[in-house]
Amino acid sequence: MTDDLLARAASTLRELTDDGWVRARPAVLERTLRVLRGSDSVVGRHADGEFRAATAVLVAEIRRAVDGLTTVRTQRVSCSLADGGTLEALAVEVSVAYGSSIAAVADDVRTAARRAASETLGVTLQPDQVVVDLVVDDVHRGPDTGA
Amino acid sequence: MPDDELARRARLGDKQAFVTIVERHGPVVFRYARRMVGADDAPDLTQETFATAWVAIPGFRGDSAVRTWLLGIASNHVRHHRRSLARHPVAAWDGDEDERTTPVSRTPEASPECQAVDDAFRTALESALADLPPLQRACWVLRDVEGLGYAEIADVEHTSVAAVRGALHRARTSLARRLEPWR
Repeated sequence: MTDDLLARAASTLRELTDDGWVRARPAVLERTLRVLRGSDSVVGRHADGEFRAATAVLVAEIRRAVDGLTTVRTQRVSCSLADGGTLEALAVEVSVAYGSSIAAVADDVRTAARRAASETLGVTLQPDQVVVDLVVDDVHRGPDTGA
Repeated sequence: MPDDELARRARLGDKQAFVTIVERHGPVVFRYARRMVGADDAPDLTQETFATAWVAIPGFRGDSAVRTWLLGIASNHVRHHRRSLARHPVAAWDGDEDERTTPVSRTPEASPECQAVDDAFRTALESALADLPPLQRACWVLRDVEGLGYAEIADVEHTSVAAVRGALHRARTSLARRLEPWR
């Protein structure tokens, strides 16, 4: 864009303080926090009996647990449910830090994912009850490499 | 925290990460919405954009920048809005004669004469922009105001890079002609 007049026009719009955004912002945030993603519900258990939780909640908890491992970043988590809605399997896609041992990471991810699912659903999930499939689909620079 | 990390967390259900995305990109989405549908409808369109984005982000693979992806969603809502107006016509938007926007650069020392000239120029610009066809307006705003690349604009507007170049050229020619008295 070489035309000075158009440069001035663009600059004029860029320099406007959008009071409109300032006013719209609270409603946008409020609406965003209210929107729910549709997801299946998974059966959990507490002292008074069974309850159901959205798989989206379970996925968020598993992401938090797996991301707590220093060499892993969760990319995706999907849940497979049996008839009746009990958790049957998890598929966890991760990126691992370059140079880390995949086998060790796999064990850690499976343990963390199963523990997070157990705590969220209130039942102790053994490896023979819930399979955790792991997909390493990327590598990233780890903490030791300054990333 | 970079956008791709926020998007990763939001994809996996971290709403706080998504709120950070809203805070970061809300202004640009709102500015785009405002130029495309006017000040009255821009807040609703911005809300719809981010509500859609929250639901859709699990499918976001990061092939484009988060900003481009959000503007693409906003562009879809603009098209929907236009179709809706065509079915249920209301008074046409005639640019923003909106005193609710205030130039950041305006200093208390600026003379009343300069302010009057700035205001008149802005009014003429808003009017000229409102008269542009939507694709030309979108291309000019996204390229010359927001600084997106041609390929990004093509993504946002679901068209080709060649169409973006053509629309941008026509937009610049029209705006220059309309603003000629200010040269």
